[in-house]
Parts: sequence; structure tokens; C-alpha cells
Amino acid sequence: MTITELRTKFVSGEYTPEAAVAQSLAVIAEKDVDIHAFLAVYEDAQQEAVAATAQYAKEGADAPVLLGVPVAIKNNILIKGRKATAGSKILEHYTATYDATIITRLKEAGAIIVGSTNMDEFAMGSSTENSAFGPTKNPVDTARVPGGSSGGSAAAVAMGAVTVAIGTDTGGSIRQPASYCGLVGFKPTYGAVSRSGLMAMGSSFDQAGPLTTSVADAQLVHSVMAGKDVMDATTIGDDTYPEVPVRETYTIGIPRSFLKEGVDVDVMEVFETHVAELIAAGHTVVDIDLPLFEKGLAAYYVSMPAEVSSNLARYDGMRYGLSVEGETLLDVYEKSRGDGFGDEVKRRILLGTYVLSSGYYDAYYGKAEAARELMREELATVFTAVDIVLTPSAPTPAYLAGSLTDPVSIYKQDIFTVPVNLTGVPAISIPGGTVERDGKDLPVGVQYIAPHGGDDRLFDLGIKMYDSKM
Amino acid sequence: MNKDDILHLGELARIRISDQEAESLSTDIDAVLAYVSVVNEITAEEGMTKKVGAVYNVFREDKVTVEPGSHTQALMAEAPHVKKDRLMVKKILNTD
Repeated sequence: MTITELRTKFVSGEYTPEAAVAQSLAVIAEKDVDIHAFLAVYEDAQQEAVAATAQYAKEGADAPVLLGVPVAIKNNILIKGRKATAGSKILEHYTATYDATIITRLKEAGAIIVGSTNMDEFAMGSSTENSAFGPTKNPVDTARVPGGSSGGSAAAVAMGAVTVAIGTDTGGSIRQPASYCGLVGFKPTYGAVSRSGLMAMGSSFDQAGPLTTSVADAQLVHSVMAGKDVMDATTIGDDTYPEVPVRETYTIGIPRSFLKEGVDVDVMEVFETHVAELIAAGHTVVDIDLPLFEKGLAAYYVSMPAEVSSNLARYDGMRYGLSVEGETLLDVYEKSRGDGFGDEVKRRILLGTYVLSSGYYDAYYGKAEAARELMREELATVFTAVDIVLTPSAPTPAYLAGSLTDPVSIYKQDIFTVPVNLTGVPAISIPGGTVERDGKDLPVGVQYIAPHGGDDRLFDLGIKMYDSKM
Repeated sequence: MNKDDILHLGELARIRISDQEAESLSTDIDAVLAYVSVVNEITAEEGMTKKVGAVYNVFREDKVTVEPGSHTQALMAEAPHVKKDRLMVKKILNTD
């Protein structure tokens, strides 16, 4: 059921928030032992649901837009009074002392938070295998990963526990799991949504967004969370970027040379089918060149670890989180961080420390940041000729758990999503079709990319191409 | 990058790295550095080295917006070692 359907039934009284939350908790109780999408389940959501049911009886269609809708939240987003672990041993016992701005807004809109979801440690990973609390399985095929880092959020929606889950996306962490689990996943324009109360990974990349079963649901939830926030100076207003109009039909650009290598043959077939559907729907499809995009992943793996190494310096065993006894202050720092962080987090902190160190700063960090600027210019030029850029969301469907172990192969799963975060534009992954692996039909997504501030254009095309066919 | 380089980076990053970890980290980090060296091609092609991105002033008034002390208890409850309203940390100056 979509949020829109839930809402209609809540207003008419045909279905109640009480029943919806009970259903949500029942699905979690039944399936999550196997899937492990959740790190924490909030049974007291049931009381909120009772209140929400009463409020519908009084207010009907005037009730807040998300009243009574069960929601799951990635565990790197702070909910006051709840454990916020970010999938890390270093924050295993940490309780959030305030609500993230997006949590405040979701609560004000009436959403009921039923649980917090599993994730790659500090959002570093593409499979949710890097969680200190064990991996999450893909509900479509439990032998496979759900994607990551918002894999718990994706699995929570895919297994039918919630209609919407919130994730964060630094290099594809909403869109890639959406693709692997057959969902809609949306990464807003950088600055559209406040990062206050999100655990920072790469501050110039991070954005929170919804994972849903319809584009209209994603648009609704995004509209609740978005907007300027005094607690995050990088949030943007309606006038920050020139208006990106919604149109009847769009000109859609495909960076063909980017898709020549590394994409599974049947994933390309699904992609081509989607291209044909776009043309049949009256849209114009043209070839474009984005040569720098093809090298984006390299720039990302310089800039992102650099920001990671700075952002994660705060976890030092002094004010909160794991603190391991030592002889000296330095001992406490080194032991707490050595014991508290997992392998991938250590890898990226060391890499970031290296690219920021004297003698290498200009060669790596300076060049990567310059590359980002050039990529923004390249993309801006392309957007003078096309309305939307189209790519697959990921080069493959969900892979088998444990099958990818070397870092560079794993990083390459994000080749199409990372340039979006490097340049700060919005993008959405919608289900494009399925491919067969080991006798199972696995979903694969297609990605629409719009200019800065073009979030509504993505929803518009997504609704036309996906929701209308549901 | 050899094992000692990794241990040195670990010191800079304040992370204790075991000898065994250092071995695997050096292989991994070498592989990633080889991959990311492509960034040099991008800038060389365009003949530029460094540029700051979209930056503009977002200062707001420097004033306290919450009641002083209103978050103290909740925040201190998370601290590993506390004495009254203070965090307890290791001594950093030696007297001898």
C-alpha cells in the first residue's frame, strides 16, 4: 500500500493508524529475524497510533499529511531518546539527545516511527555487510545483499514492514539499495534537506531522502522534510537556483560512452527498454557526452575520505561513545578508535588522512576538488541542451552476499550515482525492470538526474513513467 | 605504501592499528590510490590545479539561542567519565 492509499483509508475510517502500526510491527516480528533490516523496534509506536486514530476521527482530511503513517529511520539519524549507532561499535550505547530537523518535521507531520534501520558503519559501504551488528539480507532474494549503505531502510520497505523509510545518500546510498530492492529512492539537491542531526560522513555530499514504493510518496515525504533550517547553514531556499520548470515532455540525454563498459548486458537491456518507453511516451532522447563523469568515482574516493577523516575525528572516547581505558590521553584516543571502528571506516580515515597530509594535499585533495568544479561546469553545459540525464542506477543487480571483497570492485557499484553527489544535483532511482539470476527475477533501477533545484521535475517524470503504470 | 607508512597514518589519525591490520590496509590503500590517480588526468587536461567551489557567506548573528544549561544533563549522561558537571579525561601535562 502507498501512503496515498493509506491516507484515503485513514480519512474514511476504512483502515486506522492503529491497525497499520500493528501490521507493521507484526511484519517485523515475522520477517526480521531473517532479514535483519532493523537495529531497534519501537513497540511504544502502538500508543502513538492509538492517538493518531483518535485524531483522524476528529479531524478527518484536515489531519497532518503523514498522520499515522509508519516510518523507519536509518540509524545515523538522531531521534531523541533512542539509540543512534550508525551501525558502529563505537556508538553501540549512544542515545541521541535531540531530534534531527527531519525527524522534528516528520513527527510534526504525524509520521509514526516504528524502528531504526541497519546500515553500513557510518554509511560507508554499498551492501550493508559492513554493519557492526551483522548484515541485512535482500527481501527479494535473501542470498543477496540489499545494497547500501541504507540497506536496512530499503529492506524494511521491500519486506512490507513500512511504506516509507528514510535513508542518507553520500555517493548513492539511497538510490543503489532502491535499485537492488525494486523501490523508488530519491537524493535531493544538495542543501534541499537539513543535515542537522544526521551523523556527518562527507559533509559536502550528504543528503537525506526517502525510499518508497511510489514516486508520489517520495515527493510527499521529501516535501515534509525539505526546506531552510537555521541549524544547517548549507540549506537552500526556493530562490537559490533558477527555476527548473516541469514540462509535458522532456529532452533526455544519455551519456552513451559512459555506459559502454562494466554494465551487465541484461541490465543494459532493461535500460534500453526504458529508453523505448520514454520515446513512446513522447519524450525526446538524445546522446550526450559527459567525459568527466566517467572519472567522477576517482575524485569521489579522494574528496569523500578527506571529509570522513575530519568528520570522524569527533569519535574520540571523551564525550560520548566507546571509551577504552589507557595509560595516557593518546592511548585512550588510539584504543577507543582502534577498537570502535570497523575495517572499512579505518581504511577511509587513513586514506583521507593521507590525501590531506602535507605533500599530498595538492596532488590529491586539491585536484579532486578542482575536478568537482569542472564536473559541475560540464554538467551545467549539458543541461542547457537537455532537461534530464538518464543512466542505469547501478551496473548490476543485487550481488550475492560475501561475493565482493576488494574495495575497488565494491566502489565501482556506485559509478553512476557518485557524480550526482560530487556535483550536488538531485537524482531519483525508479524500478526499470528485472533481470534473472539463479532462477530469480532481480530488480534493477534507472536513474534520472536533473539540474540543481530540479527535484520536482524528477518527481514529475517519475510519476509519468512509473506511478502511472503501477 | 609499506607497513610503517600505515602505522604512521594510524598515529596521525589516532587509530591503533595492529601489525596484521597494517598488512591488509597497505594492500587496500595502494589499490585505491592507484585507482584515484585518474584525478590527475582530469585537471591536467584542463590545465588547472585547484579551485574552491560554490561558496557564499551564510553567517548568522552570534547569539545564544537556548537556555544555558538546558542540555547539560542529557549530554553529560552520555559521557564515559564524569565528575559533577565536568568531563574527566587523562592528565595531559606531566609534572616530573
